[in-house]
Amino acid sequence: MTDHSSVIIVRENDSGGGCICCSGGMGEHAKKDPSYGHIRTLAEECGRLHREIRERYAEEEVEIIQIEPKDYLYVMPRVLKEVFTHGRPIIPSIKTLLLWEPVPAVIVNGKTVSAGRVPAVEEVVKELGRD
Amino acid sequence: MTIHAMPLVVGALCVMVIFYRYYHGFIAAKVAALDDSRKTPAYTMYDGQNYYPTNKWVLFGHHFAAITGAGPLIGPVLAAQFGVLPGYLWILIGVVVAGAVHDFIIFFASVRHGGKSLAEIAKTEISPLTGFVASIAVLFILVVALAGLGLAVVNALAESSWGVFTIGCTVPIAFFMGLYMYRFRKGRIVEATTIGVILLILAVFFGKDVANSSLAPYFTLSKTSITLIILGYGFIASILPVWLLLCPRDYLSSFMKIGTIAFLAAGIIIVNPELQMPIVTDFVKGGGPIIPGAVFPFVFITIACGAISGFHALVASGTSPKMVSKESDIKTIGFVAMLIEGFIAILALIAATALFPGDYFAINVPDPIFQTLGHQVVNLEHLSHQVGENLAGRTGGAVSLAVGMAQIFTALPGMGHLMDYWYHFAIMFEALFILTTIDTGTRVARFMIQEFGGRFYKPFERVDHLPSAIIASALISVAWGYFVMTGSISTIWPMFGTANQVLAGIALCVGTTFIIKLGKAKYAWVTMVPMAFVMATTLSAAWMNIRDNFLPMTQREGFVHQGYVNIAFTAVMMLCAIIIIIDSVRVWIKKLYIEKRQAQLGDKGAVRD
Repeated sequence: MTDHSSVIIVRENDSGGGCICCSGGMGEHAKKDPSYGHIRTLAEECGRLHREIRERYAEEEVEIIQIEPKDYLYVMPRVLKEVFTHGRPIIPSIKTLLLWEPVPAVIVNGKTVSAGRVPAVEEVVKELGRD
Repeated sequence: MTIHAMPLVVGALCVMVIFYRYYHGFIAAKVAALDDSRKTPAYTMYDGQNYYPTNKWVLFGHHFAAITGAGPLIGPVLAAQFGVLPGYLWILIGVVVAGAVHDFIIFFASVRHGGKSLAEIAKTEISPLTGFVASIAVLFILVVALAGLGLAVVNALAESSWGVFTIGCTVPIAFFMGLYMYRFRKGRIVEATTIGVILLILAVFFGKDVANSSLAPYFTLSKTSITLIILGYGFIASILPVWLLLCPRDYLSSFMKIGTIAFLAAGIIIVNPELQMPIVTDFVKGGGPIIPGAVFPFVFITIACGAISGFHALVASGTSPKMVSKESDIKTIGFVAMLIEGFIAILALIAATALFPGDYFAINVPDPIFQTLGHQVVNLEHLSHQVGENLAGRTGGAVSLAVGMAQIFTALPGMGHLMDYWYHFAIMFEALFILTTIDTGTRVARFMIQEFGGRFYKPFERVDHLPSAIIASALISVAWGYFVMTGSISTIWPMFGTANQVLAGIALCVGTTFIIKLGKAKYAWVTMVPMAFVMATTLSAAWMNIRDNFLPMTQREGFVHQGYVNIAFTAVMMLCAIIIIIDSVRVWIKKLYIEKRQAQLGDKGAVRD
C-alpha cells in the first residue's frame, strides 16, 4: 500500500439535490420516498463497504471518498491525480477518467476495481495491498 | 453616467473576500469558536451511508449544487425596476452580513445537534410550538414558491411554439434517460447524461424548424393552456417513481447549471457590457409596474435567494452537517457557497440591467400598463426579430433574463448570429430548473400534507398509499395552480419573497437562540441584527402588500375571492413569523435573566446554608 491510498466510491444518493426554491431538491424529505428503494439499497451497500474498509485501515492510511456522479467536476481531476500518482497506464484509465462505467463504481488508487456492483471488501483490500 | 459591468463584478468580489477574511473569520473564531477537536456527527453517528466524513471540497461542491439554481436568477431581474444600485447593494450587503451568516450558523447549529433538521433544532432550542409553526410555515411557503416559479415558466412559454417544443422535449428526454440508466443499461449515468444533454441541445436547435413549420400551431399555447399542462405535470410527476423523471431531470439540471453559469460569468467578464438601466429609477418611491411598492421594503423581498434565503437552512440542516469531517470546514462550506450564490445573483442583475429601460419594461410589463410609463422601446423590435418571437409583455422575469443572457453570449466572438438559439437555450435552462422544482416541491408538499392528514386518518400518512398520494398531490397542485391561474407576477412574487424571507427570519431566530444557549449572548447580534432587519422588512412589506394591493383587490369585481385568499396566505405567514419571534424572545429572556437570577439566588442560598 502506498502512502496516499484512496478509495473513491461513486454512487447515487437518495437525498436528491437540495434547496427547493433554487435547485429543486427534496433534501431530507427524500428519505420518505419509497421509489428511491433501489438507489437506497445500493447506497446502504456502499455504506457497508465504507465501514468495512474503515475497520481495516485508519484515515491516515486510506482516504475514502463517497461521491455522487453529479459531482463529476470534482471526481475527474481527483481520479486524474490518482492515475498520475500511482502511475496507471493512461489509455486503460480513460474509461475510468470519463466515469464511463456503470455506478456504483469503486476506484482504488486510480483503478476501477468494480463497476455496476458493490464489491466485497476483500477485492478492495487486495487492490490496496497490491500497491 | 455610464456604468460597465466590470467594476461592479470586481467590487463585489473584493467586498466578499474582505468580509470572508475578517467578518466571517471573526464569527467562525469568536462566535462559533469552531473546534476541530470535537467529533462531528460524521464520526459520532458514523454509518458510512448518511453519516460519513467527507473531503471539504467534495462537500463544498455538494452543498453549493444544493443551494444554487433558478432562485437567485429571477429575483434580481425583477428588482432591476428600481435601477442598478438598490438590487446590487442589497445582494452585496445582504449576502455578506445576513445570507452567508444565516447559512453558516444553521449549518454549525445542526452539526452541534447531531445533524438535526431546522424544525428539530427549533423544537429543541425554542419549543415544540415553534417547531410545529415552522413546519406549517414551510408548507405555505412551498405553495407560494411553486406558484411564483411556475408563473415565470408560464409567461416564458405562452405563445412560443419554439419554447413549448423545447421544454416539452425535456419531459420525454428525462423519461428516456430514466429508463436508460435504471432499466436498459443500469448504472450508466454518464452515458445517459451525455445522450440527454445532446438531445436537449438538439431540442433547442430543431425548435426553430418546428416554429417555422406547419406544426407551429400545435405548440403555440395560451397562458391558460400552459398553466393547466404544468399543473397536470406537477400532479403526475409528484406521484411517479423518482427514477423515472426526477432523478434524470436532476442530472440534466446539475450539468446545465454548472456549464451555463460558468459561461455567463466568463461572458460578462469578456464582454463587460454597458449597463443601460439608471442607477436608480423613479420607481424607488413606489408605483413600480413590476413590483408594487417602494424600494424600501420591497427590494428586500423581491431579491431573496441571492441575498438571503430561508430554504438554505433546510439544506444547511440536511445532508451537509451529516458529512462534514471537521468543524473548521463549516467556515468554507457555509460562507463561501452562499457568497458565490450572491455573485450569481449579481450576474443576473447585470444581464437584466444591460437591457435598455424601455425594452426591459416593455418585456416585463403588460402592454396597456407599459403605455402609461412614458418609456420608449429602443431595441425591442430588433431583439424580437432576432429571437424570432414577440418579446413585449412577457412578464415574470424569465424572458428578460434570457434576452439579457443571450445578448451577452452573442456579443462573444463568433456568436453574433446565434441570438435566437441562445435565447431559447436560456429559456430551456431556466425552465429545466423550475420544472424540477415543481416536481420535487409538489412531492415534498404532498408528503407534508400526508403527514398532517395521518394525524386524523392513519393510512393517509403512508407515502406509498396511492389514493392518499393522489388526494394530497391534487390538493397541493390545485393550491399553487390557483395562484398561477389567478395571479400575476406583481401579486405572486412579493408573496414568494415574503415566504422565503419569513423562513430565513425563523432560521435566524433559531440561530440567535442557539448562540445565546451556547453562552455567547454578547455575540448574539451577528444573527439578531440580520434577523431584526429581515423580519422588519418582510413583515412590513407583507403588511403593505395586504393593505395596498390585496385589500383594494377585494373591492374590485371579479377579484374578491383572489384578494381574500392572498390576504389569508400572507397573514398566515406573518402570524407564523410573529409566533416564532415571541416564542424565541420568551426563551431568550428566560435564558438571559430568569435562569441567571435563579442561579444567583441559588448561590446566595448555598452561602447562607
